[in-house]
Amino acid sequence: MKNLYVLLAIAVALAPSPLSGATADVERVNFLRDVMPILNNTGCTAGACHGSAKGKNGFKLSLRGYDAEFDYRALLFEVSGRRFNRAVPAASLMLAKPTMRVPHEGGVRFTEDSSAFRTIEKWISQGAPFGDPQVDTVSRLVVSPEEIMLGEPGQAESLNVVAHYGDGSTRDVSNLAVLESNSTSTAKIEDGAMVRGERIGEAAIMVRYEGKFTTVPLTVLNPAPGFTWKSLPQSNFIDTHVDAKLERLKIQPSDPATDAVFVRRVYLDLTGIPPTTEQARAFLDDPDSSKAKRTRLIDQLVGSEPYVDHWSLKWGDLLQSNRKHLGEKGMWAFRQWIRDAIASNQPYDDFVRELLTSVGSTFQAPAANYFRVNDDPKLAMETTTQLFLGVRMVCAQCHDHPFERWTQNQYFQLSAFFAAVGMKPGFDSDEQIVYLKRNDTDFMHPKTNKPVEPEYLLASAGVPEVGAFSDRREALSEWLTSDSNPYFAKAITNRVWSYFFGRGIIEPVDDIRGSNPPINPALLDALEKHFIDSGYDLQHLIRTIVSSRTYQSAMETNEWNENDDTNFSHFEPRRLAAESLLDAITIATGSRPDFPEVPEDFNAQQLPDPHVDAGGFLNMFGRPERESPCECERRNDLSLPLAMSLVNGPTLADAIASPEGRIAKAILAGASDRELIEELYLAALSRYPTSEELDNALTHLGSTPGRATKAQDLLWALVNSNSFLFNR
Amino acid sequence: MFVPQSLRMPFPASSLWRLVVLSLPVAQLALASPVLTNVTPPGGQRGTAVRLEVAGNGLEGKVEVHSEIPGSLTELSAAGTARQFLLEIAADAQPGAYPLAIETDAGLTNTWLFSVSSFPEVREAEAQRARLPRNDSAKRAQPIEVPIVVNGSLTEADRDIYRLPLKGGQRIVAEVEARRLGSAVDPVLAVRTSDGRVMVRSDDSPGIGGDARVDFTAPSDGEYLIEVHDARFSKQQRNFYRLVAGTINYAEAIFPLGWTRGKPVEVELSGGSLRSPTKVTVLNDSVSVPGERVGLPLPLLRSDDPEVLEPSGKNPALLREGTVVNGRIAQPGEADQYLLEVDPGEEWMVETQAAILGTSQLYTLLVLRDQDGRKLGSAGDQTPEELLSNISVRAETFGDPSLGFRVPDGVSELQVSIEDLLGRGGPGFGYRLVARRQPSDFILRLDDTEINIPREGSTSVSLTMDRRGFEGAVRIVAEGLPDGVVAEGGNIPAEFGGMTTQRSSLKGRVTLTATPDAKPGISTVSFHGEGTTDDGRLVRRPAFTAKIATPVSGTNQRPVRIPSPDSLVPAAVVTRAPASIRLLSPSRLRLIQGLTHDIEWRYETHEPGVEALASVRLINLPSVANVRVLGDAKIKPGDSKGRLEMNTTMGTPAMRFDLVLQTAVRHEGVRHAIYSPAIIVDIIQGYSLGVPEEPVSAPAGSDFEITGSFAREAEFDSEVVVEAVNLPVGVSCESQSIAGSPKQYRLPCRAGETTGPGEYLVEVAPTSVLAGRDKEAVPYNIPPVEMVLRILGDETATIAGGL
Repeated sequence: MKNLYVLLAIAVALAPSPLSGATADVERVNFLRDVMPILNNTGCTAGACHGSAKGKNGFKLSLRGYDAEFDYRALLFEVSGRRFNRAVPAASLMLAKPTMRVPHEGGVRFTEDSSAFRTIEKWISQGAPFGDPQVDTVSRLVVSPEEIMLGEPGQAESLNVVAHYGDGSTRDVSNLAVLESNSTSTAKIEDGAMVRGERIGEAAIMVRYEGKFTTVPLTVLNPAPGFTWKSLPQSNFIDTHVDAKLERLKIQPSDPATDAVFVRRVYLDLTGIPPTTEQARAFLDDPDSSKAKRTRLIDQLVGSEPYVDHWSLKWGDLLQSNRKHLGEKGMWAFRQWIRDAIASNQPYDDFVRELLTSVGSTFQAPAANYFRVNDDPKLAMETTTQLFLGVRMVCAQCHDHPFERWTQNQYFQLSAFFAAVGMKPGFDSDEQIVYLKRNDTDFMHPKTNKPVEPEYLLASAGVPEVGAFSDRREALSEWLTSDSNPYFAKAITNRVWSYFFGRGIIEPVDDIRGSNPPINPALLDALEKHFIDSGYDLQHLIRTIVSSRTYQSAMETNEWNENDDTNFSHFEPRRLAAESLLDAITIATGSRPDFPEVPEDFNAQQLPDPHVDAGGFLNMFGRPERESPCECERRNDLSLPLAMSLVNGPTLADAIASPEGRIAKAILAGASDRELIEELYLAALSRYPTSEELDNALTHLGSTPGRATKAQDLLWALVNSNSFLFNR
Repeated sequence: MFVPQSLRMPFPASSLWRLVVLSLPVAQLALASPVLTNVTPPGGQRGTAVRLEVAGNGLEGKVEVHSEIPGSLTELSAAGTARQFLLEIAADAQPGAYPLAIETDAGLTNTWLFSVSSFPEVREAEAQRARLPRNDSAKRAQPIEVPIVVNGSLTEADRDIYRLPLKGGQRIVAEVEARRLGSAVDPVLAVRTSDGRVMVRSDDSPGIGGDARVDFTAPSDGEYLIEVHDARFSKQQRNFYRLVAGTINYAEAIFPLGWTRGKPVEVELSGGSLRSPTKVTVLNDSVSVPGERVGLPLPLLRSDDPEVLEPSGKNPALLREGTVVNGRIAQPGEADQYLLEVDPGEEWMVETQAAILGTSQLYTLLVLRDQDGRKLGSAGDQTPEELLSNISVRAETFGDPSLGFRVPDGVSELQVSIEDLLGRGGPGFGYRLVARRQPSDFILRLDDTEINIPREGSTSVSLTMDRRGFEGAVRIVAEGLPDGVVAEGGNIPAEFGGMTTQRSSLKGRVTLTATPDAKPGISTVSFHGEGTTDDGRLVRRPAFTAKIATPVSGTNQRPVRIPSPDSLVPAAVVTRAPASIRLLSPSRLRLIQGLTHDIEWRYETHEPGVEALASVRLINLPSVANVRVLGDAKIKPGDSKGRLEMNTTMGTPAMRFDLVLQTAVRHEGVRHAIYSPAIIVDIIQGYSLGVPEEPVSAPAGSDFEITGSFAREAEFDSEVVVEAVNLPVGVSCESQSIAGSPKQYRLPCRAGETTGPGEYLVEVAPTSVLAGRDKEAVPYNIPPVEMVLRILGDETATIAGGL
C-alpha cells in the first residue's frame, strides 16, 4: 500500500495539469469516489467486459471493481500511460473508447455530453488522483424505502440510494447504483432506480454501489377484491409466522391434508419410503382423532430404523461418502459413523465439531474420512462453509465475492485453518491416517506468497481468539458452531426445512448471503432460535416442522394462494427421489430389486454409495454422484425419458410381473377382487380406493378372464400416476 | 488387509511336525501342486472329537498329513473330492492356531490354521445345510448360548446374526477369529438389542491383527443379537470365521513387543479383562493370558539382536548401536528421548516397529535433532509429496518409520525422539527402536508359502523387495536346496527411479530346477538377498517367509499374510510335470544396449493327452528398462519349438535381470503352470573407455597426449571415434578412430602458449554407430568420461608477476 501511495504521488506530481492555475473552488474529483462508480455503473468492470478473468483486449480490471488499487494501476501505468492525454484530457483513450470515437468492442458506454464523460475528463485534468481510502470509500448505503409494497402488477416505485463515506459526507447515487431483481418476472428494474411490479408475488431488489450492497424486499399484492383472512388452526410457532406473512400478502393457506395424504407424505419425508399396506391400513383405520394419531405416528417414525436409513443417505450425499474417494472399507466405516450419529441423535454442533477436528485412521476414526474427501485446505474450507454455513466462498478464491462481503483475503484466512491437516497411508489396505502436521503448517497467500494467519469469517461473541487453540480446526469449529454464529444454525434449519417443503426459506439452501434474503425472515429466525434452544437437536427440529399445520397442508390451492409457490401456503408436490421411487416400487409391487455387493435385504435407502445400483435405475432418476457437497447434485425432474422408462422400462414391468410379487401372492392366496384392489391402492398410494375407483377397478378386473393380467394393468397405472410418482 | 510380519501362531519348525501317513487305494494322481481350499470346521474344542473335512484340488490318492494339532487324526471314507478325518483333540491342548498341510505325490499344499478353543463349538446353521433359512436378519437369527464358538462363513454380501439370552449385568466377551487364521474376511462384530439397536460394535480391535472383539455387559434381562459381517461386505473365497462368545480372559496390550530369540522374557499383559497388569514369563513367540478360558495367544516378535527395555526414569536414555530398545509411550503427549553418539560423516539408520506388528496402537513419529536441539529430520509425519524435497534425510513413511542419514559436520550426539503422531499414549503404545551404522537397507519377502519342484522340470519362486534406501542391484541366493535341485536367476536390477518416492525395481524370481535324479521329499529352504552399497559394503538380508498368504478380493486389497517365525519355507521335489519347456538358445545372454535377441525354446510333453492352454511368454521383464518381447508364441498342435524376440533400446540401462519362459497346460483335467529355468540377461555397453586416474599435466606451449584404456565387446565391431571435448582455450587434441580391439586409445594434443595455467575438467567422448537387425546404422554413444587436465605455467613468472 505504501508503495502505491508513492507511485500515486509521483503520478500526480508528474501530471501536467491544464488546470494548474484553476481556482480552489473547482470541484475536486478522485478515482475512488467519482471514477470507480462510473466504471462499475457503465459495465466496464463487469464479468463479460474488462472484469473477466483475462480482461478484454489487453485491458484487465477487477471484477465489479473489488480492487480499486489494481484498477487504478491498470489505468495509469499499463501501456506506458497511453490511456491518458494530460494535455487534452477529453482526447484521452479512456474517454475515446467508451464514447466510440475509436473502435470499442464494448460499444458506447456513455456519450460526450454525459456526466460520466465530464467527471472523467475533470479527473484527468486534475492529475488523476486516487483519493484517500479512509475518506473516499463508501462505508454504507442507505436505501429508501426499506421495503416496497405494490398494490397490484404494473405499479412502480423509485428507490433513493444514498452513499455514506468515511468522512461522514453523503452522496445521492441513485443513478449510479446497480439495481438487480432476483425475480424479473415479478419485478423489473427501469431507468432512474425505478422498480416496477410485473405480477403478484415477491422479489428482492439488490442495490449495489462500490462494493457495498443492500437488499430491498418487494411485494406485488393481489388486487382482487374480497379477500378476507380466514384463520386456520395453528399447531406451533411455524404456523404463526407463516400465517402472519400470508395474511399480509393476502394469501389464504390451504386446508389441512387428509389422513391418507398425510400418512404417505410423512412416511416418505421422514423415512424415504412410503408406508407398507399394513402400516397405511393401521393408520387409516385408527379411530383416534387425526391430530392424536398424526402426533403418535411422527413420534414413532422420528428416530426409527428407516429414519436412520433415510437421513444417513442425505448426510452420505452431503459428506460425499463414496468408495471412489474413501476406498471400500473407508466408505463403509464412514457410512456407519454417520448412521451412529443419526441413530443416537447426536447434537448437530457436536457432530460438526467431531468431523472438523477428526484425526486418526480413516477406518478406526471414520470421521477422519471428511479430510480424505476434502484433502486440500482450500477444498476443506469451501466444503465446510458451504455445508455448515450455507456460504459459498469459492468465488472469493479469485476475487472478492461479487454479491457478498467476503473478500479474497478471507478465503485464504479461512483456508489456513486447515493448513496443518496432513494425511499419510495407513497400515491396512486403502487406509489413510489423518494427523496434524508439526511443521510446514503455513498457508501461503498466492498473491503475496506470505503466510496467511487464520481468521474467523466474522466475530462471534464468546469465542476465544484463534491463538488460544493448539489445533486451528478446534478454533474454527468453536467459532463455527457457536450460538452467536449467524450462519451455523440458520444454515441447517433452512436446509432441513427444504427437505420437507421442496425449497428453503432461503433458496438455494447453500447460498446464504445478504443479497439472497430469506422469504420469511421471522420464520427462519424463530426456527434457528428453536434449534439452538433445543441443544441443536435435529430430531426435535424435524418433529416440530412435520407437526406444523403448514407442513400438513393440502396441496390443493384456493383462489388466493394458487399463484403462490414461495410462502408455504400449500404443499408443493415433489417427485420422489430416486431411492424413494425404487423403494416405493418395491413396496407397491412386493418385488425386491437385486442390488449387488450388499446384503440382500438392503433397500435403496440403505445403499452405501453410487457404486451400487439396480440396472442403472437410481442414477437415471437423479441419484447424486457424491462428488460435491451441493444439494444440486440430486435431480428430481421428471423428463420424458424418465417417464418412458417407467412406462416401458424393465424395472417396473419386471417388478409388477414378479412371481414373488404382490399380485401373484394375493391371487394365489385367494384374494377377492375387492381385496386385491384395496391392497394395490394401499400398496401404491397408501390409501383406500374411492368408491368410484373401486367400481371402475372391479369392472376392469371382472370384465373378462385373466384377472392377474388386469391386476397388473391396474398396478401399472397406479404406479405411473402422479399420485405415486410425487410426494403430495 | 494388513497382517503384521510378526503375528505368529505357535507354529514350530518343520522338523517337529507330526506326520500322519495315510495309505489309501491309489487314485488318479493329479500332478499340479495340490491346494487346500477349505477345512471344515476351522477349529474345535479341546478334548473333543471333530469330523474334519479337507477340501481342495489334487488331494486324491495317497496323502500325508502334516499337522501340529495336538491330538490324533484318522482318515474316514472320502466324501466327494474332499478328504474326511476324525480329529481327536487332546484334552490338554493349549488354545491356539495349529498348522495343517497335506502332501501328495504332486507336492505340498498350502498351510491351513486350525484353531483349538476351550469352549463348546457349533456350526453356523446356514453353513451346515444350504437349505436352512439364512441367519441374516433379526427374525431369522440363529439361537446360541454362551460360552460358545460358532464356526461360520460369510457368503457374498452376507451377515450372520445370532440370538442369545443374557441376564441384566451379565458380561460377555465376543470375538471373531478370522484374519488370525488366514481367512480373507475382515470381520465386523456388533451386539444389538432384540429390536436392532446397536449396543456395541468393533471392527479392528487392538492386538488381534484386524479381527474384532467386543466386551459387553447386558443392561437388562433379554435377548441380544450378535452380528458378524465383513467390513466391506465383500465376496471372498476363504470366507470362514469363528465367533467366540463367553467369559474370555483377554488382554489388549503387551509389553515389550518382542525380545531376543531363544531368551526368556517377562511380558506385561494389560487391558481387556485383566483388572491390573499381569506379568508372565515367555519362552517362545506367543503369549497367552493366564487362565483357562482364553482365546488365541498374542504374538511376540523374536529377533536375532540383543534387546533391552527402555530405562525407567531416564529421558533421554542412551541408544546403543544394534541393540533393540523396547519402549512405550505410556501417557498421551509423552515423547521418549534417546541419545545416540555419532561421528560426523557417519551414515546411520534408525528404525522403529510398532503399529505394523499389530500389537501396538502407536503411530510412530520419529524425530532426529542435533545436540543443540536443531531438528535434522523426521519420519512418520510426512506425506509422500513432502518426501521428495527431503533429500538430506531419507525418511520412510509407509509402515513404521525409519530414518537414514549422514551425520552432519560438527555433530557428535543425536537426539532421537519417539512420540505418537496423534499425541496419544497408554499401555498399548509400545515400540521397538534400533539404530545401526548402515544408512541403506532392504527388506525381502518370499511371496510363495510353499514350493513344489517337478522332477525334470522347473518352478518359479517370486520375491518382493522393499527398498529402504538401498538402490542397488540385489542377488537372491537360495540355501538348503535338496540334492539335485539347482537355483537360477534371482537378480533384481538396481533402481532407476531417481528422485521420486516411487520404486519400481522390486520384484525378483528364482527358478528351481530338479534333475531326474532328484530325490522326492520335503525339505526346508531359505532365501536371502545380497547387495553391495556404493562404498563397497555387503548388505545381506534373509527373505521373510509366510505360512499363509490369503488373497483378498476387492480394489487395492493386499493379501492376508501370517508370517513364519523363521525364514524357512517348505520345498518338495515332486513327480515330473506332464510337459516342460526348455531353452534352445543360451541361458546366459550378454546383450549390447539397443540390440535384439532371439530366445528359442522347445516344448515337450511327457504324457499323452496334454493340452497346451496358453502361449509361451516371457515373464519377469524389468519394469524400467525399455525391454520388450515380440513374437507369436502360441503353441499349436504338433509344434515343439518356438522363438521370442527380445528388444532393447539405447535407453536400456546396463544391468542384469532374469527372464523366465512360462506357459500352461491341462492334463487329465488339471491345469499345470510350466516354467523354464531362468535366463540371465546382462545388458552391457558396446565398449568402454578409461581415462588416466591422475591429472594429465602439460606446460603451456607444449605437446602432450591423453591416453586411456579401451575395451569392446566382441559383438560390437563398429568403428569408435574418441575425442577430447570441453578443452580449455588454447588446447587442441586430435581425435582417434578406433577399429578392431586395441587396448588403448591415444589422443595427440597441444597446449598453446596462451593457455592459462590451472586444472581443467575435460571429457573424453566417444561416438559410434550401431547396426540393428535391419542393418540400419543408428548413433550409439556411451556417456563421456571426465578427466583432469593440468596446464602448467611459468611458476617463476607467475610469482614475479604476482609480486
